[in-house]
Amino acid sequence: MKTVKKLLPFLCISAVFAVFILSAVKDMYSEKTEYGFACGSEVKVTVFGVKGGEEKAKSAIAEINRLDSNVLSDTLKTSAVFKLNENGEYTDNNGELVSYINECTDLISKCGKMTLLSKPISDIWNISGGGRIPSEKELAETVKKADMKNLSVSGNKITLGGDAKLSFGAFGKGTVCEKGIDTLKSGGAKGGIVTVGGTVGVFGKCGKSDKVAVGVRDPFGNAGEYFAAVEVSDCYLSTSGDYEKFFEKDGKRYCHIFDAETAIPADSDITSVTVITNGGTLSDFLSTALFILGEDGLDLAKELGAEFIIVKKDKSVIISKQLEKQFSLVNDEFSVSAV
Amino acid sequence: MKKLVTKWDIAVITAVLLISLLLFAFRPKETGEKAVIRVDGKEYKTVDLRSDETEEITVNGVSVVYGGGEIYIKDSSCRDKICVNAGHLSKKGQFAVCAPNRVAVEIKGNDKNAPRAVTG
Repeated sequence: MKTVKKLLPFLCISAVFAVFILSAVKDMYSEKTEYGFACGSEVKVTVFGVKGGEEKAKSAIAEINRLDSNVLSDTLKTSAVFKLNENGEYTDNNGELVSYINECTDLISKCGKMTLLSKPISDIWNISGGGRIPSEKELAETVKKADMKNLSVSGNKITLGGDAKLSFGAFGKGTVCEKGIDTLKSGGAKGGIVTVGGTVGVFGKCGKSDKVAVGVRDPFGNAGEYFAAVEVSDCYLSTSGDYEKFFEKDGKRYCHIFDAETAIPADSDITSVTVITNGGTLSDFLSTALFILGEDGLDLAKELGAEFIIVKKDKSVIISKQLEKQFSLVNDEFSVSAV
Repeated sequence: MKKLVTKWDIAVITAVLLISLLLFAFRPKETGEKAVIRVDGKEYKTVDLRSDETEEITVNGVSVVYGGGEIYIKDSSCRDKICVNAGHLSKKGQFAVCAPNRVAVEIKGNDKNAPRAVTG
């Protein structure tokens, strides 16, 4: 009895220390978030379940920055795309740009209303500079420039013809998001969430649950406001809409997503499209494609194995049947039907 | 024979329990009353939104106004003004980003049931 009595204070102190050490270890393995900028958007990387999560998140952001500034950006002078646009040709020694061009070209072959040579179109509309409406002649000339026939890849040599200029505008955020997730995976993280503008990538075990709730932006609300949430795991979500980058003239809204066949902004009763699929580049492509194609694009979504959430201007929402169980509405001004 | 547990022991254990309870009760709460301003992805300043008077700070060509329960980007040297158009923010999780100037403002705090990310 006496021994126990003597040991009691030590036991108490050890217990307190154990709690401190355990909480320190828990903290070491708890989620860590880092921020950065790429592709004209804020980048947010959260890492779960690994020691040194901060470093892992930072290296994902560094990799995203490298891909944007050395390869994909059409505004930064350091990038391969910028050099290609300046010189009309580019020799891609490590094959990185060629592989992304090929991936996007394959996707575009499924939607003729999209192009990788979209820069001349966005340039004539100048949406980010306040917007202007081009003449019929300008539009016709620009449609020719944006034709995918002007892009040719032979081995590691990329050539542009007909005054074409390449832009990964409809793909880049998804591509770098996927790169960020891949970097976290190879860094040994147990789970991670990478957000690049409106594209979200999710993998592994993020916290206690195997599923992650991702909000779907309320196209009629502020940034960060969502009208619904979906429970997902191991996937990419992208959203294309007309509510952020646009200008208005004579009561009509002109958004930043263009039909490559007419060089005119997509215009329908749809205000935003979210897709959920297994690749970043794919999800970014598909949300844009569906925004342009409207309900005609649903077969393409099914062909590519994607789930979708389409929000119309009258606040009616169409979701894919398989999504019903994962989808929950948080704003009851919207009405949902599944197809 | 001495008692196994003395009054003194009970006092110490009670004190420890009380202190833990107090620490738990007064743990820092994440409410919608604070906002963070990030520059280049790094926290630049955390501001309190509760004061009635508004304050304005300018960083990287972006002027941010906060107070009276809200925060907003009043003006920016960027071309597209997406950040200014984001409007006045007052709810947890709302944010405005000026990508060209690499400035972001976000209202702090996460409800337990709030989504981990937002697509859009």
